Amino acid sequence: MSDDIFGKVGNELSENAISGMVEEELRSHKKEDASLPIIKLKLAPTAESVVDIAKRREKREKSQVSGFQSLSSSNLAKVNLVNVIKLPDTLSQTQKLKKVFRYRRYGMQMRDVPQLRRESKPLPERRKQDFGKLRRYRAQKKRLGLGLIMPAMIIFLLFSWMPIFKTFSIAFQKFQTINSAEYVGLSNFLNILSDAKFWDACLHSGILSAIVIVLGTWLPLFLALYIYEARHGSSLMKVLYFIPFLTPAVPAAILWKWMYNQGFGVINSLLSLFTPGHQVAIGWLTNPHLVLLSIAIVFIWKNTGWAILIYMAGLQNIPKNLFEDAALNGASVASKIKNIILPSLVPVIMAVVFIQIINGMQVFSEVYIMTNGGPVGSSEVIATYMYKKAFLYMDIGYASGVAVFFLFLLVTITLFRMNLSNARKAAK
Amino acid sequence: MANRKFLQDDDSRYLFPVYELKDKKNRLIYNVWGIIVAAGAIITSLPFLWMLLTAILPQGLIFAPVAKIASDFSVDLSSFKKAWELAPFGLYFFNSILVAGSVVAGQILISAMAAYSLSKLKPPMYQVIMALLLSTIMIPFETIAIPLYLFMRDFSIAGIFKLNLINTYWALILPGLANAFNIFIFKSFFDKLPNDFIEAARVDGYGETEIFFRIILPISRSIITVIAILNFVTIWNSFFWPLIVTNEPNIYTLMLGIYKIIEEGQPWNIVMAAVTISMVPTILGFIFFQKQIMRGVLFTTLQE
Repeated sequence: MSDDIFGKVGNELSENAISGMVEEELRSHKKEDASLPIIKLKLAPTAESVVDIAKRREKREKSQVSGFQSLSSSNLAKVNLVNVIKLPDTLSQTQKLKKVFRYRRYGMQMRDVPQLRRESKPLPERRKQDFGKLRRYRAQKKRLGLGLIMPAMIIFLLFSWMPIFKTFSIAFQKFQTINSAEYVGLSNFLNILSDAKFWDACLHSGILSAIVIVLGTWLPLFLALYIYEARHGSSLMKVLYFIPFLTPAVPAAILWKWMYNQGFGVINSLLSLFTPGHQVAIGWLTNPHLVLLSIAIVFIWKNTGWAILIYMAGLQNIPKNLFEDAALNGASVASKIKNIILPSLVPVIMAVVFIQIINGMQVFSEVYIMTNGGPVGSSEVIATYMYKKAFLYMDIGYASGVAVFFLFLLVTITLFRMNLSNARKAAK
Repeated sequence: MANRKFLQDDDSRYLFPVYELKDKKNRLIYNVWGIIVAAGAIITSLPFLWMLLTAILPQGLIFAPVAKIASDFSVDLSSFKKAWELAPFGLYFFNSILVAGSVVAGQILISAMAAYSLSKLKPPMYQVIMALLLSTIMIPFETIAIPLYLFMRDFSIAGIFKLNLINTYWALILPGLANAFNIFIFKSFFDKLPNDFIEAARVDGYGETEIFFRIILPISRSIITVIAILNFVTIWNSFFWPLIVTNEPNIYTLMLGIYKIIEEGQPWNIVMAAVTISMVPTILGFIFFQKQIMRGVLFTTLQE
């Protein structure tokens, strides 16, 4: 800005004014090179003349007599005048400067010359001890980082990573007693592959998962859609559906075992009300064709509330204006569900499907307590089969082989899910 | 005024806002759907009613058909007393609370420390650690149960001291501490915390350890509550691992104790009384922490 002013008023500058300017420049730059902004002046003073001005100024200060002050002879007036002239703050920087130059022309000296530039502070010097401090700080941070993660590392090493490797190594061993094992190569795996019971268990887990996918995914969606819209009792219904999710598996399984009871269970008893004169006796847990469905019903009963919660969170994120457009075009409820809600909920539905599959494959307590794999092994799932092999028949090597299969199965499902979600993200 | 509130509520409705309900067909769909959902809610809670009913019925009535129960209904609370005397429930509750409490406390401390380290301090081999932790999430607990059991039986760290931890609290607590999922939840929380918090504390002269314990932990109180409640419920409900590592009644957790009662072949009204007793903490917990539990379940699922 200052350069601009010099450009504009440069023609009319008197010697006095120039000296004032140089003074200011000197003051604002202090040790810096005073000649830099002055180069733009039309009447550029040479280096000698700058020195000249400085000398003249010294002289003037020594004599204490200058311009307007020299006109008035009394000392009193001199002191007062210097203090009286002040620039109003409303003026812009440029106007102030112009005024200052104008007064200078008449030989008046200004006390409060606006400073154009702030005094620049020198950067703090880099000292050796500062580097030391930085290094110490970094070392402390690194040490703390390691120290904080160490307990977790030790715990995970002992109770997560080592067991995984041990599962693989035990799968190649045969245990005569629990303390003596010998290396038998692949024979465990070969036995498992030709073990009809193992494949039955896999099949049962698969059937269970299939039922869970169909009922455990679409039923909660059906319920969630209404509960989201409901005008009355929406939160009560949500809570009622959610309580079974928190119910521990053991009491739930015992409760359902009692309800499924063939002779005296409440389900058969209630069904009998609809068939007068005839006692319904469905063997929910004793009929080999029904038992998996019965277990799946318990599983779905337990997990519906959770799925409803997830779906309702997903529903909140659908933009409202889609439905307004649909309403203007006269869309029916069914077409709104089909064309707006289902496509927007795809990621949520996928998440629910996969979590339900993985949980369904791992189901243990319900099966173990309600049927213990019975009748005649028709509800044996992978987890119960593994448990029995390891802790009932003490065939630990064989059970570890089953565990390895199980691990591969579940990791495959998880990786498949990750791939799907990544592909969907990439498609967007 | 009421109308205005009604319309405001309507902002979030997709299928059945007010203007759609003026259509007769839509109103029919809305009502029928509502009846089905409400009926489903009642059916969902029927098992609990049946549990209570069986527990309070006299011995002679529990095997009767529904119609007979309705006609000569009478209350007999003696089965609760019998169930309480049948098994040391006080001990089971104590064991469950001790195990779940120590697992949760340990988990939170360990996970929060590890997550803070991974999020803000970036320890060496950051990528490797993250990958290793991520891999443990995919692994189901059932597959590592066998080696863990063997490890608990001959517990030793680098062969220095040998202990048999079967039938001790340690066997129930230690494997529960390794939960990578908590670390990721904590990490995603810390990642969102601005670094300015930490910088400001540093300027104020806090040491790095002090920053963690006096700034970070108090800030993350909300997430700690959620994680604590959810993990407490999980450990409280766990059955598979206690079944493997305990076979002495004085170490049984509540779930295992209940299971042993049914294994003994007690009459159903006593079993149901025991189940009711075991459900009391869950119901109480749900009443007190309903919001946190629902929020936590949502949060953890959506994190995955």
